[in-house]
Formats: sequence, C-alpha cells, structure tokens
Amino acid sequence: MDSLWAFIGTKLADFLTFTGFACGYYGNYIMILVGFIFLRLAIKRDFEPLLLVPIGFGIILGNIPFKAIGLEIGLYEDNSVLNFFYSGVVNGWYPPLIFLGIGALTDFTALLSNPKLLLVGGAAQFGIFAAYMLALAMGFEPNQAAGIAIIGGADGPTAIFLSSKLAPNLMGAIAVCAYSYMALVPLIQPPLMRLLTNPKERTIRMKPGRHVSQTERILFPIMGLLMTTFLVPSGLPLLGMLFFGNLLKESTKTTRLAKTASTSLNDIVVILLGLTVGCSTQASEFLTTKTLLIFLIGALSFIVATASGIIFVKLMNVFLPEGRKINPLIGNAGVSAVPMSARISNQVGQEYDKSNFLLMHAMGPNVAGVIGSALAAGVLLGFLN
Amino acid sequence: MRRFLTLTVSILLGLSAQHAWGQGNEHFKISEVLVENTTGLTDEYGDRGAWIEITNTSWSSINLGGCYLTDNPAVLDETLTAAQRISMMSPIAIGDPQTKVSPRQQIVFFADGKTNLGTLHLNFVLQGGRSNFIAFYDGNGETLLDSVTVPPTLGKDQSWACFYDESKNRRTWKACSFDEITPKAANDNFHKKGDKVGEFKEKDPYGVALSLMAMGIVFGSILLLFIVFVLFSKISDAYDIYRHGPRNHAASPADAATMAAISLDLSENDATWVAIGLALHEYSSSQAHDPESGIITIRRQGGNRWNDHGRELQERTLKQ
Repeated sequence: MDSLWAFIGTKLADFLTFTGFACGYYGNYIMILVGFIFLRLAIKRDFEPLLLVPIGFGIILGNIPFKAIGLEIGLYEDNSVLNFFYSGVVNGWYPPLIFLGIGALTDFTALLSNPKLLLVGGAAQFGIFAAYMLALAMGFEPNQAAGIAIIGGADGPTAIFLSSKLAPNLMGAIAVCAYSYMALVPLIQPPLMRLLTNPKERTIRMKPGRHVSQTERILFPIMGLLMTTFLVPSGLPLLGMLFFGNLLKESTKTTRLAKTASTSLNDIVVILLGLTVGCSTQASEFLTTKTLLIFLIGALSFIVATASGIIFVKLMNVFLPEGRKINPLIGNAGVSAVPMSARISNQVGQEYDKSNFLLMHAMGPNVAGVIGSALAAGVLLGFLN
Repeated sequence: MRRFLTLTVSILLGLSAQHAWGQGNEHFKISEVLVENTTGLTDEYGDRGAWIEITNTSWSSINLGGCYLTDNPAVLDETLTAAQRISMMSPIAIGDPQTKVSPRQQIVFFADGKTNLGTLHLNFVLQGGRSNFIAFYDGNGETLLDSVTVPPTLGKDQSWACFYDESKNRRTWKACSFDEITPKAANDNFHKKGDKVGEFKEKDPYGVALSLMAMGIVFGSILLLFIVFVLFSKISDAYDIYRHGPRNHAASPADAATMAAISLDLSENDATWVAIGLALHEYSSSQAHDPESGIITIRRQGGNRWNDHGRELQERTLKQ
C-alpha cells in the first residue's frame, strides 16, 4: 500500500513539473498581460478587432508555458498543429492570399477617377526608407533593417512577407508591431494631420472624380500588374495576387470567386495568420531590447510616412490651379492601412467642415499606398535577398 | 510629353530585350567540386563519383530545375545560339522537388555520366589528372550563372572549394583536404561577405544609397502607372463622349454608396447615416430612386431590418 501511495506521490509530483505554473517565468506572464491588452483594445475600444482578437489570443496561447519534451504541441516544434499553421507565415503563403482578398475587396475607382492621387501613395512610402536608415543607425543588419522598415508602410501582410524572407527571427516582433500601429492609426495620425495643415487647407473641397468606365476598371489590374511587376518582379507574389483579386471583382463574370476570396478565404487566412503571428511572440523570443527598438522605429516610420503624404499633397498644391487643389488631410491615407486611414481623413476633415466628405478622395491614396508598399517590399527583397 | 513617352517605351523595350533570368537563379553559385572521389560522398545507390556542389546564396528557396551544367568549354563561344549551347550541356530536370534548394543551402550533383540514375546525375564525367572546366547556365541557355576550372594538380579526395577572401575582397578557390571537404554543407567563410547584405553593409552603412534607389524605383513605378492611366482616362473620356455625348460629372451612385457604406463604421449609432447608406445602396442596386440625375429619394419601405429607422424619417430628397 505504501508503495502505491509513493507511486501516486511520485507521479503527481512529476505531473506538477509539467504544468504551466512550474514551467513559466515572469516573461510569460508579461506577454499574457500584453495579450489581454490587445483583446481589450479590440473588444472594448473596437481597434481593428478582426486582427487584434486573433493576435491577442495568439499571444496568450503562445505564452502558455510547457515542458518541451517532444510532445509536438508548441509553435516552434516540428509536426505540431500550430507549427503546421505557422508554416504559412514562415513560407510566406498567407500574405499573398490576404492580398488576393484585399484586391477582391478594393474598389480602385477613386484612384482611377483621379490618378494623381497615386503619387501621394508613392510619396508616403518614404517612411519605409527613413525607418531603414534609422534601423541601420541603431545597429541592425541591412536585411533586418529592411524587414523592420516595412512597418512604415502600415501593411501587416507585406511586413510579414518581407520579414519572413529577410529577417525570419524578427518576424514576430515586426508583425505584431505592424498590426499594432495599424490598429492605432486613429490615435497616431490625427494630431500629425492637424500639426501639418492650416485651417484653410483643411477645408479645401475637392471636386468629385470623373466617371470611370467598366473597361477602365477591368484594364486597371491587368495594366497595373504589367507595369509594376515588369519593373519590380520581386513584388510578384503580393502585386500579382492583389491585381488578380481585383480582376475577379471587376470582371463581373467571376463574382463567386471574388466573393470567396474577399470573404471566406480571407477570413480563414486572417484567423490562421493572426493566431500564429500572435503565438510567435513567445516571451523568450519577444521580450528583448530588439523588440523595443523595433516598436520605436516602427512608430517613427509611421509618423514619417504620414507626414510625407501630407507634405507631398501640400507640395502638389503649389503647382495645382485653384479649384483643383487637393485637401492635404487625405495625405495621411498614403499609408496602406485600408480603409482606416481614409476614414481618419474623412473624420478629421468633417471636424472642420461637416459637409466636406473626403472619404472617397482619401481612398485613392489609400489603395495607392497598398500598391506602393508592395512595390517597396519587392524592391527591398530584390536588393537584399 | 511625347518625348517622355517615347523615352519610357524605349527604355522598357530595351530592358525587355535583355537576357531573361530564371527567377532567382542568379543566386546559385558553384561552391565546391570534387573530381576523384574514392572514399567520400556516395550517391543514393552507394556509388562514389565526382560531384559538384551548388549553393543557394539567397534567403529564399529556389528551384534550379531547368538550368544546365556542362564541362565543355566550347559553350563559352558567344557566336553559338542558345539551342546549340543547350545541346552541349546536361539539363537539370524541371519539376523535381529534389532540385529545390532552401535558403543558404547546398545541392550536390554527381558528374558520373549516369543520367538514368536520377535528376542529380549529370551526363558528363569529370576526370582526375587534367583540368576540368565546369559552367553553370541559366534556363535560357544564354546566361552564364557561374563557372570554374578545377586544376589538374588536385589529388584524390581533395576538393576545389570556394570561399570569400576578405583581404582580396572577392571570391577565391582553394584545394581542401579530405578533412576539410564539406559536401552539402557551407564552406567556411563562403557567405561571409560575398552576399548582397554584406555588400550593402560595407558600401552603404547609412542606407542612403539603398533608400534613394528604392524610393526612386517605387516612385518611378507609380509615376509610370500614373502616366498610363492619365492617358488612358483621356482616351476613355473621349471615346465615351463620342459614343454617348457629354456626361454629368457628378459622383456615380456606386461611389456614393461605397462612401456611405464605409462611413457606417464611423457613425454606427447614427440612424440617419444608416438610413442614408441603405437608401444609397438601394439607389445603386435596385433602382428605387427618382430618374433625375444626382437626386435620390429615401422611401419608407417594409421588409428590411432598418425599417424602424426608416419609419422615423420623413420622405426627403438629398441633393448632391
């Protein structure tokens, strides 16, 4: 009988060593707290819930401590279910699929009706390269600096795609940083927009865009693909899927495919991507000085990108005739956080003139920003891979 | 404008006339060769033969299927056509997962003349006691990706390996003894500075050059798109006027509906916005509107979930 109790005691003691309480350290608890903050921001404050709920829950999931004895349960353990899901991130499958969905969702009419707004989307990419220089100055390797810099494009899938190729060990921090700043667009951009514009500029009314024919809408993804990928073939996975998705939408003959790409497929990928990116932030990998630096550089690059877009619009206005000037409040939308930053343009614009609707105008630079950041990722990949 | 367009088109055509690259194949380098293999690496049948190691120097997986390897120096003759050159070389089969090389990893081909043994066997044989030339060509049969000449002085089980010589700042080759040969593994110092990242780190420590180049390319691409679509819109407008006469340039109902739909996220508690969004949607989809251009009507309707909000609103007309 004694031996039975001893056996039970030994096994229970052994079991206790397997629990999260025995295996965890303070880093796990900090990260679980971070996960809760993400969930709170998403659920209570409505900050990008579709992204932050999977990421926040993933952070908690990835930081449940366990004893690594080959149970094949952890994200980084071969053959585990999470590892299988994570392979879509590591091998860069998810970002192009997300781009397919974005393409199928996005209406490029606003851009086509006023093509000069494309340039605003291009100018805002300066944030990426400012961040690249900053990251180099802080001691990161060129490939790591490029992975970090793409945060300035405010495009989560692009950030994941590029960092998985150039800086796989920093991907978790880069992805979480990119999505965090995308969610914080409503907090970061409005003060900058007010700072860089004067009351007169904020009330500029823009003329409605020209009518865009069906033929133009169909030709845009085809021409866009040819123009961009012939120049930057390394952007092919992202740009190819973006324009393909848009062609599915605009052709009007493949509505079912466009609907699937923009709804079910997109949702599935977002769930897997968000969850596994969140999981990848295991405390031992994530709680480092490098992560803090990445968040700092990310914030600065986001600020520079926003400012570049606004200043570029102001510069364009110097050359544009009266009556065709652009409201600089849409310059912030040059970053590719679609459609959050366009909404912010509209929101801030209406603070100064309730009847001035900037939303459709801001969608132009906003979707141009998507193309711009994918191009920037392709260029960086081409130079550094 | 015409000059600019002519220049742009000329540059694009000029670029397209250049030799086509297989995607990423330029990242493959011959990294090590062993001619007389008596005690070392065996193939899948346990046989030993001369081998050629190729390294993927990039950070992406690339498949070198479709490329060519040869020991025939005659392929360097620039007067040869691609087809003539290809006929002198050993092709690497397309579609075999074995030829996919992971980032910074190596693949070994056996130069034993036994192509019937599989994809990793070449149709030529390297022989000791003489110099052996090896060339590695891209799939177009024109682009030389890498080449090396293995000296005749190499002994049995000695390899000819590539590494990066920092003092000379270039790739160089040296003979490695049996203990130093590394088939299917990176040679010492092979990647140290001979890659793009190292080059940028050395030549562009502050990132100014890369930023200027990359921003220029991004902005240039977008500028090109801008020019194309400005021209296209002008042609389209002209055609539209030709077909249908002058058009009212007010925002289209679809644009307005999109605007309202996106705005709903901003004003989710505002019943007015909801009703306007719904009305705009119906305007663009179900033709429930007045026939006048630029005018929509919000009507009281039954059978939809916004009915309660609809009842609160009087029929009204919005003029854009």
